[in-house]
Amino acid sequence: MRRRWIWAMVWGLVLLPWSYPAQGTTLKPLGMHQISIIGATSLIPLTKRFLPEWERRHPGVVVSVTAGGSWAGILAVAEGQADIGMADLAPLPKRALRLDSYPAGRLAVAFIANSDDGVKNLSRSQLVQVLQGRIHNWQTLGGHDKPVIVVSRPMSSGARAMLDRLVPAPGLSADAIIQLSNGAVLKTVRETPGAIGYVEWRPGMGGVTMLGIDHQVFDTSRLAAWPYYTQPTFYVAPGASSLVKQLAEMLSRSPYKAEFGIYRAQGIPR
Amino acid sequence: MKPVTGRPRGDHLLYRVVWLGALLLLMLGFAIAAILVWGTVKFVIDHGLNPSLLGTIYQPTHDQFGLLPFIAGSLVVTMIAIVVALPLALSVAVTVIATLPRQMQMIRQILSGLVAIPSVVFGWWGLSLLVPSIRWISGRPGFSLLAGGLVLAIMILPTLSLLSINALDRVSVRWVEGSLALGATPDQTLGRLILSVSRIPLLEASILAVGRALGETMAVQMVIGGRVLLPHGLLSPGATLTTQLLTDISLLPPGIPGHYVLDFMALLLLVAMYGMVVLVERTRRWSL
Repeated sequence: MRRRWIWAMVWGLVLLPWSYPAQGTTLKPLGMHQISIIGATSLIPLTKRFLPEWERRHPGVVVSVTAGGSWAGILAVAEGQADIGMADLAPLPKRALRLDSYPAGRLAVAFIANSDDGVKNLSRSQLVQVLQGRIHNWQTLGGHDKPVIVVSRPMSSGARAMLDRLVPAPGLSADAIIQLSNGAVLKTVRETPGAIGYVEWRPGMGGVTMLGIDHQVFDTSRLAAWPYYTQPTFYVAPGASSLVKQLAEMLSRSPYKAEFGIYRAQGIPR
Repeated sequence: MKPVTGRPRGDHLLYRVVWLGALLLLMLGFAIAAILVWGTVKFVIDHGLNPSLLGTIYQPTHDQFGLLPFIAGSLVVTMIAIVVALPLALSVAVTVIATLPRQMQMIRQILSGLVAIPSVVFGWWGLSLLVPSIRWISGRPGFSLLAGGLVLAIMILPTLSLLSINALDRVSVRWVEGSLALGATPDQTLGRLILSVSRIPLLEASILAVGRALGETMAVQMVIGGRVLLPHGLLSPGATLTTQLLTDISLLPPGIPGHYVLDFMALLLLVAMYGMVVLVERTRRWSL
């Protein structure tokens, strides 16, 4: 009899994972309601800043946040593997069009150069040529005699998607150094003479030259006038629970957005 | 006294639990391999198994899957790691065995502690110290295959040192004493006896280290530069199969067209790792 009980426990433990449904929202071990959020790394700090307060107001709800990129965020929500997707992609993939969206505002994309490059302003055409790898030395643009080193984000990044729209074929230089995060791009450009890159701006970024484009200076007090930006958005499935939709909306209206460089802009109704 | 026959009751239960655990592990391994094989089959059906796979143009969103830059990157980075780490690990092992035998336990503990350091720490160290140093010396960006290889060398050094100490420690004290008693100098005893007898376990340790280096991702990604073109020198930025998998998994998650190339790349790594395991087994057989 005792052995049967032990065997029942062993099989119970083995079969426990299969007893969970695939949908993240219905995973309720020990009576907890779980909400999973996945997607763009640019929205992770804002989400993590907001969540502790929200979770305190909603006891019994546990929210998990995973970075995975904008594409993965949208796909995970479209296929029911996560509740909220975070993305700053444009144009939107087809799967995102079927989802409910909660835009958070705009996130400025600043073009940054190493302080020793000796260039503070580029025309849009010069910027494109530099990013395409067609200009090899800063001297050509009136800067110091340093080879141009392009630093970029991977293709899954929302900022990269914006850049790919800006830079026509053949696209970004294949010689570019790829860094996985905004912070890594900033550090690389700051420390590498000759480097140029782009980051989703947030307060506190320094040690690099913020490049003006077509004599339009990157002015943090007038971000709404800066023409280069991404649109970070939270996505949920149309059939998601009201709690999930409420969380997505609260995240998109978070009072902490300014801390992370997200600002309101005309034409965005939030 | 009656002899004990059969298996005691408690043992039988424990045996089944352990067997179940082993079975689950096997099933997990097969499931992972099956997913990768399935993805690879889908990739081959969609794109064919053609020479362009060994090409140099990689644009997965435009159906161009030249994997040569990553295969070359993996091989070069692993080679640098082994060439740098093996002599250092051997030096540590010889020093411990020959001159610090009383401190061997303590040194083993320290090395075991170093093995447990997360790879991202090594990557950060490489980013903060190694990349600027290479940049300062070479005048190039610093992000390079060389930086990746050196970070890997430092990463595998504790493991390789531990395995080398274990290999040299297996040589019988009687043999060493006998060699010295016959008039051989300590250097001759080290070179012609200890290292000679330990060559198979040392080879085994090296192969294990190669496997570890080949599979490492995060630390290498932080310093290698992620450039998708065929590298034209050790100071050139590049990418390995693992770093490109890490970079592209966000772009091509399961369900997105083009994802199967990642399964194919992962299967290549799995096959390479399995090759390493087979090689270790073969070297063990040679040593018997």
